[in-house]
Amino acid sequence: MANLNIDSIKARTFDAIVIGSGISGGWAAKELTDKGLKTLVVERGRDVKHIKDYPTTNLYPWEFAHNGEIPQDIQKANPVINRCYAFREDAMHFFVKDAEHPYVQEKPFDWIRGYQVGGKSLMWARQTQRWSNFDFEGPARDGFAVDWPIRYQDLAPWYSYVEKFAGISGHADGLPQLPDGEFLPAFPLNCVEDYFSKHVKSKYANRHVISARCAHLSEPKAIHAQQGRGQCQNRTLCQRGCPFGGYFSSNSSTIPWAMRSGHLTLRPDSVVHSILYDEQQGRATGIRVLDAHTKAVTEYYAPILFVNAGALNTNLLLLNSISHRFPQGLGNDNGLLGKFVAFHNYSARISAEYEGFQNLTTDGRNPAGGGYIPRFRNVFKQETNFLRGYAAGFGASRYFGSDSDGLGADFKKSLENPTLGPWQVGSHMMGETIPKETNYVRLDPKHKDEWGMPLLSVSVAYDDNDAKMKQDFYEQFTEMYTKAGFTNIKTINSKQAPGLDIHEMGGVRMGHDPKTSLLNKWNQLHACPNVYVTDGACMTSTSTQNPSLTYMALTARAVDHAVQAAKRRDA
Amino acid sequence: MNRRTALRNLAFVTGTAVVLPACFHEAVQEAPASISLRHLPVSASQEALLAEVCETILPKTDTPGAKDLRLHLYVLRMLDDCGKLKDQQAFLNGLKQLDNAAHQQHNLGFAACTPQQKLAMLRGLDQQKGSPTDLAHFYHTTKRLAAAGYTKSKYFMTQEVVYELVPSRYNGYFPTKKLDLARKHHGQS
Repeated sequence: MANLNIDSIKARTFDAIVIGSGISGGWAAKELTDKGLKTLVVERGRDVKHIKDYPTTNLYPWEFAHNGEIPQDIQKANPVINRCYAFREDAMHFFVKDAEHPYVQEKPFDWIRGYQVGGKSLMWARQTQRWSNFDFEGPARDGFAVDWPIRYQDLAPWYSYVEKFAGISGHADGLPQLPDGEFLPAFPLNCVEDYFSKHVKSKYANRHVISARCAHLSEPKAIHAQQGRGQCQNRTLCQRGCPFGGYFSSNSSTIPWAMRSGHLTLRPDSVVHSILYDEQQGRATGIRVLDAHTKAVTEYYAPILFVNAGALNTNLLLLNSISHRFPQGLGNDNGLLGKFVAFHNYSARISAEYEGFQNLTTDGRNPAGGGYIPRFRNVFKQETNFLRGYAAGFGASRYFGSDSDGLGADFKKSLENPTLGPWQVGSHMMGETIPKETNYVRLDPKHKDEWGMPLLSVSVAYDDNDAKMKQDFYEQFTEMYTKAGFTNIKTINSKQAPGLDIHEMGGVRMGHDPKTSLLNKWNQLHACPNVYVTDGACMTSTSTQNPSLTYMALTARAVDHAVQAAKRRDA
Repeated sequence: MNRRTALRNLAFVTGTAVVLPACFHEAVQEAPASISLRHLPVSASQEALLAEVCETILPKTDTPGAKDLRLHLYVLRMLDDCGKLKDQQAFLNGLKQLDNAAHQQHNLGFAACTPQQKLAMLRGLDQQKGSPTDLAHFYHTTKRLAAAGYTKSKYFMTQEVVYELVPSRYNGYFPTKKLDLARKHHGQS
């Protein structure tokens, strides 16, 4: 009996455990297994195998029951997820429905989740930009949050490392606020995007419209062929999962790569209840897991733990990991766990028309989505009445339409012979928000989910800085659009709640000082260093860049540190 | 024999499905539509009427018409699953009113009217913008959905304006004079 028990513990003991299989968890799995560590990845959702589990990927529009629309009863039952732009008939099976996983909104917050192997890396928008020192030095310069314990130079080699593997398309634009990377050829701007780019460059000293940088294989290299991935085929149906592996996801890239190493054990349908802490050893020893279906409890053990549950769920898990040593949650000696949550302000857009280039249109589709305008406000010095700034997208396209009047044979003929409308242009704001103690998540004191986990209670809101920045976006873009000769300019206030940007960050922030931060410069919990947090929860500030590339680089860097530290201990 | 068993046997004998309880409210038990609908209690004869409306809007020409492509079923499916309750109610009211209007004007049901009579009736509704009545609302909803059903049909997307699943290219400077939407690789999404 004793032997059986020892065997059972042995079978549940690994060199490393990764909690979550999304964009950062996938990277942790790849890096740990590449270095020969026997690694367990636990994922709360179901398995989604590359290609095999993309049921809609090759469907034609007419093969969907509702032409892409979500039926009313599903919309009504799921008001939060229904607000997500990608929650459409072709990809709705990859999103968490509201009722399945409730949470508490102390203030309106749209929490967009994907519980499956691959997480949201399956449906992400694939925009990938490096941070610069203007971002890492932001909190120290502008006096908010705490100083980042790392600088661009610490992360630059790791950006290169993950970019080469993931495959990032972009131009070397030579901009100090947006460092260049290891690029595959960029997807080009179209004629109107190019026109606007040249126009903006001629009118403004430090404003640039560049090809959006994205995680697509515009020209695959040998390393991508080794992953079984091929060239992006410009389908722009990415949210369904790509049968070519044309964009980067855990499913197409890191998870199967780790699996081929022979060192990975992947356990889907495994809800992590808490991280186990051993007071004698003074470190975390493993995890307590509930089977998502049977609710059976199992413990797994490892000397290295990576927490990649997704920013807010990582907060939830640490808060729920209570021990005598950590009564407020694992590593939470200073009471700041769950606080200083921030996000990106995506609530402003602007649209217009352009009457030029009537003789040109586009052919095929651009998976990068068009142009990207890096932050130009307050970059080199403070120059406005708000802190920080915003990046923006810029896209131009023409659409076909037909006369909607009449009926009968003439109406039918007009449907069969649609005509090109004018160029439509648009930009959406991606604003940096300031992390504040008053923007927090916590455990709901009363309500639990069906796995016995306390519900996450979210209290996150915009502030005055966001409002001023948004006004500036409207003004600056109206001016830029007007100067470019765009007409019918319309500013749009989506009034969306925080969360719908799907860039929630923080709560377990990095910092120099254990008194004011949770993680050190290697993403280890100050108070429990064999636990690493490398998903969005670790972010000290948000910058304006899309965050995923930074999570990937931080994860690869942290794994390298963990493995080297383990070797040093062995030596 | 309890009531439930009796009803089941009745269904067996008559060979029709008995749908409870909505149909009990109708004075006359009519055969239901040919597809199952959850929110729109449309009868077989109303379905046939809708097919006539769709065919009048999108008639068979040198290309297939609404009946060939069963666009009325697309209209019903989309409205039943994706339509809002008030739109469904206005649609049902308008559908009944159209038949009543045909009786008043021509002493015939809409389906029995001549193509010219149908066209004239619907043209009047086509010019009523903003759907001031349930009847106009019914017409414009039907037209919008039938047109979407047509342009999203397999026929249309393979023969008229061809849809490309795998373009494998992007050109941001494409001359419009080279456009040919019926060509397999016209590149317009």
